Amino acid sequence: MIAIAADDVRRPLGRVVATERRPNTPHEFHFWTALDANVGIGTIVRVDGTVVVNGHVPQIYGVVMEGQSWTDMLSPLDDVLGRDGQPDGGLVATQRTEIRLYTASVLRHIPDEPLQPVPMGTVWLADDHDIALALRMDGYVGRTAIPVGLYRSGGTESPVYLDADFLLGPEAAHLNITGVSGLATKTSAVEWLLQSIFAHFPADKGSVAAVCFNVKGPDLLYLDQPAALAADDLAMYEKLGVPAEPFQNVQYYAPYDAALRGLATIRSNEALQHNVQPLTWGLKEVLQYAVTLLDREDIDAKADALIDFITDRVVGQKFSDPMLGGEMIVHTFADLDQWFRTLLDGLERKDSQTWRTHHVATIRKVRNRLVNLATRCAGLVTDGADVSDLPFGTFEDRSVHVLDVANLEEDAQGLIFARVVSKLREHLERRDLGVNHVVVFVDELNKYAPSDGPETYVRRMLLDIAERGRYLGMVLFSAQQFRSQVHKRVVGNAGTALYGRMDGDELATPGYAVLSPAVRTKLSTLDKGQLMVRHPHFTQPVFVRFPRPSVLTGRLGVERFPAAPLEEFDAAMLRRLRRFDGGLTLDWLRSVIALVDDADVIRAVRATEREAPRDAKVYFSAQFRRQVAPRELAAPQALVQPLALPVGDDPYGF
Amino acid sequence: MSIAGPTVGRAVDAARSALRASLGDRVRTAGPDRTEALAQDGAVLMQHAAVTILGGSLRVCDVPPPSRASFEGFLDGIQRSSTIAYVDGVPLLHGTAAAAIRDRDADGRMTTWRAPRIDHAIYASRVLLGDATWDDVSAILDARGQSLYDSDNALPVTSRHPSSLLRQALDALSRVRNDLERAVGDAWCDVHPDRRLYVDGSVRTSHAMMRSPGVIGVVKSHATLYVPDDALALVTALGAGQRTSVIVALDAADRPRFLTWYLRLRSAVGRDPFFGLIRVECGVRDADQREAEAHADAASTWLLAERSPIARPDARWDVMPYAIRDCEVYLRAVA
Repeated sequence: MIAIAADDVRRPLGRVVATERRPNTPHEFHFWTALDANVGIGTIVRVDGTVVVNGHVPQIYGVVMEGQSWTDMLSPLDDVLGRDGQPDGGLVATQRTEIRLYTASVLRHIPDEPLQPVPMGTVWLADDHDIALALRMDGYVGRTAIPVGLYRSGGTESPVYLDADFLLGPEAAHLNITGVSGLATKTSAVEWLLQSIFAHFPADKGSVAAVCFNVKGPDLLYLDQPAALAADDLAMYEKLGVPAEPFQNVQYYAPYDAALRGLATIRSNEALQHNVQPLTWGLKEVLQYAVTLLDREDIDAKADALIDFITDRVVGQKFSDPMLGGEMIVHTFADLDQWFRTLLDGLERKDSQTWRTHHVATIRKVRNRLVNLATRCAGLVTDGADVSDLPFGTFEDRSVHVLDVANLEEDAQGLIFARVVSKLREHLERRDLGVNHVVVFVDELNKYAPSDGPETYVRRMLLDIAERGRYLGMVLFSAQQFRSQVHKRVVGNAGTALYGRMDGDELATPGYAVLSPAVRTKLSTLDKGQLMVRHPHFTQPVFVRFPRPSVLTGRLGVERFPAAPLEEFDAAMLRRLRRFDGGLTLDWLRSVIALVDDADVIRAVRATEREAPRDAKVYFSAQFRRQVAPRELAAPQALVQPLALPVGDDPYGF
Repeated sequence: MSIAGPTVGRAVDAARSALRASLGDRVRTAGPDRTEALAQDGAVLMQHAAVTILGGSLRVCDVPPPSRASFEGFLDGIQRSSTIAYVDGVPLLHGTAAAAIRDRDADGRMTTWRAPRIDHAIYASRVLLGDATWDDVSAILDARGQSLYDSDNALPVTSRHPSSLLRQALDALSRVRNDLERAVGDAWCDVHPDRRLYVDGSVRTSHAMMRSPGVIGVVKSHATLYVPDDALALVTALGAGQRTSVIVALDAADRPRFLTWYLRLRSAVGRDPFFGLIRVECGVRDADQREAEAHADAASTWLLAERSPIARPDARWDVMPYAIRDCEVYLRAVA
């Protein structure tokens, strides 16, 4: 609620001036102030005109973009003369006349028409009411306002609101934040803004959830843990109407590490495991997005066609073919490998070079690439059928889902991003995700959506969200260090842009030429917690301050909840099983798995976790009896596979 | 014999060097050329004032160096004029006169003491216009908020030559400006009898300012000499921070009227003899020579403190304190 300022008796801040060389325009004006005036770059001011136009005395709102000062000194030599050449010398009786001249960009004219140059008049510091009018927030405060921070200047402390319709759609959407690492508070800003959205997103607009990709460090890993906030921060929370509490509904997801000893996340402290779950996908989940893992220069149209065939006709359904000698059902990578072996054996037996138009070399190549996925993304992709996934379809309102992919290879990160975003999109299109809007937060856009470099699946996905997401309710919150090096269509489609502390080199790029030198200087010296905001309703950038997030920072989180030490494989498996039976011992486990491969043990543990049986000891042991049952010895195989020679003109043969 | 342009400078330099070689310190460099201004002073040089030199002969005194700024107020006036029309060959001069005191606070910041006094009027010779025309012109101007002043009150009409008439009108305008300055200065003295006031110009037209011990008048031009010719060399030889002994200016009845002395604010080495030279005026409070010299020392110290910042780009920056320039700039902005 905007407080209407009392008609106080404050002194005017300054006076509008214009000269022939420095005229005022409808979009810019100049004013001078007393030397001690509490005004600076970013200050919002109001000009009261003196001449009635069309029945109204015009009021103009502007934001200070540039400041200059000078004295009546004709030449620097005058000061040298006056001080006898000594910087600290001479008695200077009188302070020279000095001017503080500011240039402000117009935020709003009231009335809007006729649009005229800013008239001469008195300049006043804007109060709460003025801020609301200047930023055109009067049109949505009380309806769709999302607090983004406090505007502070000259003793004024006013909430600044974003319009939810322009932040989460449908009018505009997406948010991009840029700034140097460590000082720009990019992650903090997003955490704060999510809290604000959760607190203020209007009920009539539906439900909202967030999916955050933690691509580096521990910053997003303690969103459910409270932070100790300073009084100033608490006051800001109160002023902005956001509870100073951690997120209430957070779920963490992380794949296993490559050795399958535990989840690949720093959030491995025992006390925080209640809302951490594995992220593991099987063949069915991965195959559709396998293209993200395949080198486009390696996979051609023929390979693509075979992959599509396998996806559509083979996986998860009964498939019979004379070449296979019967019916097969492929559920897992192991099944798929077996399917390929059977097929290739059949081809060899029949001395055939093609199967259903697919050349044997292409089949070998696709087999190699697909079966290899489980190895390349070990920990995420399982050989078996056990799957642990996000709750697509049952997303809860105001829930946060953090996928910790910081410790994964780039391939696996790409796969996770592609599949999660695609699934979100599918469900949003069908309106069965569980929520109406989902905010997808991706950091390091310089890496995932660079302005140059090869076309990647992830970049295409980001472009797709940026350009079409708002119609679905999928909103991209993105962050990067160098906005100039991010694909223009990604940042260009962000209706709201936040800027933290900026690097000088970045500010020198053409994209920032619209900002005045003073604003660029301010951007390069912003404190933590300060942001410059651009929003469709704001005709000029506005500087705001936001409170520290009320969640534990990554640094403190790691200190307070140190990651569990990397365990021996046996101990890690035992820890997971003890969730179901605290009486299990390491000796017992070792006796059970003594002759078993690690992968089989993992499979058995996952099965136990999935079933949560009453007698975990029995259930787990039974898994091995079934998994490692005696098998007939196969015929001895050659240690070295014979090299396959190129066949015909197929360039992929080997 | 004429000398080609580019070689004139070298020839003059050579001549100056030769003079200095022959005559030594008797030769001074003239510095930046102020020939026209000094010659103009000479043209209006009226007479030597009637004076008595305290102590019998003029002496050079070293002024104690200043440690702080002492003046709190700075009084100055401006005038501006333009000829708006000629009626029957008689010029109508629009004149603006203004005076103000700028108050300096402890931080050296200047603000205006009370409101400035500003007068706008049209000046013309009533005698030459004739009463009927005068009344017509007066009515027309009055309807437009303009006052018509009779410039005959200043100087009598000596000629119908327009230049002479304009000079008459300008003289009337100057009198108005002096009146405004005096009024402002008197008001200051009424309110602040003990605060120090720097007056740009003479103070002898105001009894209140003459009586006030903190009021010092500074005269920048030297058209009227207050020393005999034979003492002029001592005046022009003053070094920076030196003053002459006190001179008592006498009235028509040979009674002490005011005290005055010369003070060199800035070194004139390489400059003309009057560079940085001012004449200081104050009221006669005590006939005692020691008291008068002590007061001259104190007032001179106050004045030396005003040397910085310098008042450039004003051409008179060598003798004008920055605060007076500030006052002028202020008056030109508001009048």
